[in-house]
Amino acid sequence: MEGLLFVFELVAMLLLLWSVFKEGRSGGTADQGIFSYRENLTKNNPPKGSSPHA
Amino acid sequence: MRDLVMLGFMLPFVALAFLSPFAGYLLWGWCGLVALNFYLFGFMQGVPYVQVFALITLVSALMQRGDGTTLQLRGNPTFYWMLVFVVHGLVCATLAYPDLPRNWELWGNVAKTALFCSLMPLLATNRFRIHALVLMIAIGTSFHGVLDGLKFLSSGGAHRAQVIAKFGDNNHLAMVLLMVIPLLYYLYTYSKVLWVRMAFLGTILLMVLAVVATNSRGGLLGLFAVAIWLVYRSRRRFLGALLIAASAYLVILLAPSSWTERMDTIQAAEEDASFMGRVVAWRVSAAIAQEHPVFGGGFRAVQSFPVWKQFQNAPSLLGFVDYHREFSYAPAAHSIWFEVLGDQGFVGLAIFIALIANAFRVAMAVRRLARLNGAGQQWAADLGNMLTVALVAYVVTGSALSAAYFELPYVCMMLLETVRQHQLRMYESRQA
Repeated sequence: MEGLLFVFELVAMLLLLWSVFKEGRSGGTADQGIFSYRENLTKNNPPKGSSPHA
Repeated sequence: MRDLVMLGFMLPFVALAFLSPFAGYLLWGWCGLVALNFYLFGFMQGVPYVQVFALITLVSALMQRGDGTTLQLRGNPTFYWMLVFVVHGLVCATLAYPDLPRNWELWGNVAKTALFCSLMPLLATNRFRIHALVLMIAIGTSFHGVLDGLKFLSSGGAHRAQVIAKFGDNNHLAMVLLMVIPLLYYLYTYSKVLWVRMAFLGTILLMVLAVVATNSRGGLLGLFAVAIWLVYRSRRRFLGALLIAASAYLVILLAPSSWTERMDTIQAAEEDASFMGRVVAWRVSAAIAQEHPVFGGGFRAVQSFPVWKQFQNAPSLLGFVDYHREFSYAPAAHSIWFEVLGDQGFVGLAIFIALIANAFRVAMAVRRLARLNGAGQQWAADLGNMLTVALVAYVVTGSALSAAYFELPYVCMMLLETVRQHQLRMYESRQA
């Protein structure tokens, strides 16, 4: 079981590195579709006149 | 066989590390977290993976491959606090008691961790790369828990977690597993593909089972802390509570009576020789710091038997602890706070606390910036929240462990800083 998991670990890492490589080739702009953009927009309205330097 | 497989994977790994500095950086971090050498038994066991990928990353980053990596130094408080901690530690190690076996090794670990962390904001320059970093941490760390979780499940609760030397003992393993649970929850929330999200959900449950399999009482307390903070900091509180209820049900269903009996001893800590031994180690660590308030006794001074004998009955802040027992060995400090106190004095402890407090301040700044940056940036606030949950797990579990120099909390602190810088850049570009 440990050997199988070890191979799975290596494959997962290789896939991640490949997507990082492709992202790098694109000049650091493409997201490779690995994360979701699902956001709760209603919670993201910035309060007017606020400063980011708390 | 496993060594041959590793060799086969090393070829693309090395090639990708040369082609992309950030890929090399991920490999550098991953090799440290997964501790490859402990899972190989042949000719690939002796390869210094961390050093190899650290070197490749530094070389390829300096060559500026045009893959979006820009080495633009930008000062940040997290880096400055880490630098102060490393420099102060260097003086502590230099002035340490003679013949401390792990003095320079531990200082070297801290310095290497700080070097790794200092490059993070330079290389993780966008959301994709931050997400990839979280993935790397999750893949590298959860590997240790998934196996034990599966064995615990298949043995009906009889399995006891196997601990590799990198982590020390079962309590350390429990701490590491607890720290990765919030990050897995973040990945579950924000991964795009459904089956990947389900895989992270399953991994969280296996992590919980693996924590139970460590038989660590500190781990159980940490599990409660993580559960409470996860629900408190999560935007999906009902889902978080549901996950915790499912985990608790699995634990009750599978945990053997020996585990329940051991956890019951938490209530009778004062009668527990193991726990009281830790309190004596805290007393001795405080005594060392009182003798050397600025630079302490050096890394793991308390675990040197001559030092232990010298300070066993010395005046200490914890002199009120009336527990006397003859030790034939020098026990570990068993607390991140007292470990740093004995090793690096009151000044070192103040820097260490400032470093952790700074991380929570950075998390607040991330939440504020994400709110100001508006639509599409909630992920940053959520990641900041989950990283603080990981640090809460470290602080709670580490309070009874010698784990002050373990790399994962420092990586989490710098990841928080990296997210803050990303959000700050976005805010500044919107204002311009």
